[in-house]
Order: sequence, then structure tokens, then C-alpha cells
Amino acid sequence: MTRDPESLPHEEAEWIRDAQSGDRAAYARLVEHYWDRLYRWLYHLTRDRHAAEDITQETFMRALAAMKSFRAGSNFRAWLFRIGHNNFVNQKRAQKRITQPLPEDVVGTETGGPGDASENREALEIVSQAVAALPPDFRGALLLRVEEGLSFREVAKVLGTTEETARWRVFKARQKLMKVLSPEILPPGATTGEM
Amino acid sequence: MNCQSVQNKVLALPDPRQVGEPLRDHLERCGSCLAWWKHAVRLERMLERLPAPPPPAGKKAAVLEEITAGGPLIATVAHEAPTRRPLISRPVIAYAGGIAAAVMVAFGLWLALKPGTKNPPTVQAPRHPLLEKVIQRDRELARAETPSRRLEILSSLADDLAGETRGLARAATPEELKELAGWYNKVVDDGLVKQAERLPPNSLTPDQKKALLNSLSRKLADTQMEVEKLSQEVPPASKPALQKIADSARDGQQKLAKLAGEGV
Repeated sequence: MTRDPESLPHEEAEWIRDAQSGDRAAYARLVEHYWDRLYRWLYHLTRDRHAAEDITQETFMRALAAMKSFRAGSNFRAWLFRIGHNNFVNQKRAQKRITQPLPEDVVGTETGGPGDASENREALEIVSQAVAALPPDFRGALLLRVEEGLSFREVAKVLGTTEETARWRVFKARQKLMKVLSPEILPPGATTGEM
Repeated sequence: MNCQSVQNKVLALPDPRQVGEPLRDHLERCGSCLAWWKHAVRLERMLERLPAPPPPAGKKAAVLEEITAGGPLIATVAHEAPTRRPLISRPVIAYAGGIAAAVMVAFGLWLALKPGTKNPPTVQAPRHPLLEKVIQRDRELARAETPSRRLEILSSLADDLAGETRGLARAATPEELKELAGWYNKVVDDGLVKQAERLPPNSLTPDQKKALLNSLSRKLADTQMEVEKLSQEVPPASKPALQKIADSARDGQQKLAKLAGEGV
């Protein structure tokens, strides 16, 4: 299930155009549309919901300031996430001397959704921890691809790298997870993947 | 194709569930690769459902409120700045306040008149966080009662501008960075340094003056160092603006250090 990667393309173009002309309500719609997904991605990068929320807020304020520099017709989501990634990198740099907090306990905080019943909560937690243990570059690329449904080219744009590197990071992330997670965690029986 | 090669190809796909003909042929014939592929598919499905806790502080609502509640801020700023000046009666204070007001008006106009702006600058201008800070500094300058306090406020204004430039270094256009660098130079050179040169003789003890000027000088040195470091990480077109900030910070730092050494 890819999360609604290309929803409302027509309306979005309109919102962007209006926001670039100074229409606050149009920009607010963009905030509404992208806040949760940007927060989710940043949460998985930071493993800290306070930091993720702060960076999300900072990203939207910076995007607002830079709105006029956005090139019409290009990918707004990739542009926005790139600002978010820059903010994440800056935040990491600023806090490099501070001890990294332990990942937050997310047990019981999942928002839920269709299909949850068929997934094993414990297994999800273990996968979540394995993802958290990936190098940040791999983690960021993997989740942009899997959660956001961005193409490798768009992932590269967000992370400021080449398409090949983006593809490599996603591949290595999957490879590491497959090695780390035992068959008990990933039992084949429940799969419904189509061939 | 051997099993390792097939598995690597599957993991390199945009979506491991969507396997093409040659890979599918292998999977149908190879039991171990089929079992492995099912693991990979399940992993992909689980990755789509990774739990994330809800954001803690409801900042989304605050941001939305700030965006939608704003009025014609630029018009207010552009008209307020000249009328505020008479409130600052003494020449030195007026000079310091003028720097902040000039930056504020320039920043407001910059936001409103950048290429692509359709509306006149008096309507629907976004409330930019930097503009908020500049307005705040301007108010502080108007209320500041001592020369040393005004120096500290100007120093904070310089920090705001440098911080904004650092934050935008990767996202803003070179032209935008150039504008910010120009204002930084104005605040440091025309504001901070000139204020320091005009410190009234009896406003502080010699030790206090020295400590204040050294402290401001150190802040500028830190900015210079940080910005120079950052300039190594930005696109070539953005380097000159950052270098200009670093140069302004260095010049200001040297002038303040000299004043501190002279005992003003």
C-alpha cells in the first residue's frame, strides 16, 4: 500500500500557484495536506516525536518563506521534503554533542488502520526497531520510497544525491533488514503479495 | 540467473511485489527463492505500516492559525517604521532604531516584491518568522534605555539575519541570500560598529565596556567561523553571499576587538 502519492495533483497545482501569490488559505491547505506525512517521515528519521514536530513546523515556515522560489510544475512534495531533510541535517549538526536519547516507546501509539488486525504488533515493533537501527541515509531513502511512494529520482532530489545512490540506499536498507529479521518475524504464511 | 542475483534484483525493484517476467520465472521454479520473496513482500507491507506516535504539542494547529490569521502585515510595517522614529528622540537611539527599521522595511518589501508576486505588497503578505524577529528587535531598540542594551539588541539582530541565512542556505536562491547578506552587513557595519564607536564615555565603566565589546566580538567571530564552514557545503552560486556575511562578521569582530583594546 503506497500512501496516496499523487493525490489531488490538479488542486495542488492551484494551491501552490495561489500560495505563491500570497494566498494564506492556499498555503494552509498545503500544510494540511502534507503535515502528517512529513511528520511521520521525520519521526522515523529522528526517533523523537518532539524533534520531528519541531522540524515539521520549521520546515513549513521555511517553505512559506521560500515559496516564491519554488519552480511551478516541479514536484512540490520532493521540494518540501528536501527542506525538511535539510532542517533534519541542521538539527543533527546542532545537537551532535548532545547524547542521543533512546528511541521512544511507540507501543500502543499506532493510529491504526485497515489491515492492522492481520499484522502482528510485536513483529511491527521489531521491524520498527530494525529500521531505527539502519544508517539514517538508508532509513530516509527507504521510507521515502516505501511510505511516500516517491520514485528513486524523487528520493534522490530530496536527499540531494544521485538516482543511482538513492536506489542503492533503498536496496541496502532492504538487504540489511532481510538479514536482521528472522523468518520468525517475517513468516511467509500471511503474505498476499502478487506475483 | 542464480538465486543471489534474483534476490538482489528483487530488492532493487521500486516495489518488490511487482516482479517482472524473468524474475517471476525463477521464483516459480525455485522453492527457496519463493519463500525468501514472500518474506520480502511481508517486510514491504510492514514497512508501510510502521507505527509512529502522534505529534505531541499540536503545533500544526498553531502553524495553521498563524498562517490564516495574519493581516496585511507588510503595509503595517512599511507605514509604522517612519512614524515610530519620532518616539526615539535622541540622535544615537534614532540611529540604532533606524537600522532595524530600515532592515524591516527592506525585508517587507523584499518579501512582497520578489519576482512572481501578483498582489500589491499591502495585501496577503505572509508573516515571515524573520520579519517577526526584526519587528521585535525594533521594538526592543525603541524601548532600550542604555547604549549597551542597544548594542546587545543590534547584535541579536545580526544573529537573526545570519541564522536565517544559514537556515536558508540550501533552500533559498543566490539572489535571496545576497539580499540577506547585504542586510547583515548593514546591521553589523552601520549599526553595531558605529554604535560601539559612539558609546557615551560615562555610560559604562571601562571594564564593563571591555567585557561587552569582547563578548560582541566573540559572537561575530563565531558567526564568521560557522558561516565559512557552511559555505563549503552549499552550491557554488550561494557561496559569495555566505562569504560576504563571513567577511562582514570578521570586519566587525576586528573593529570591536580593537575598540575593546583601546578601552573605547
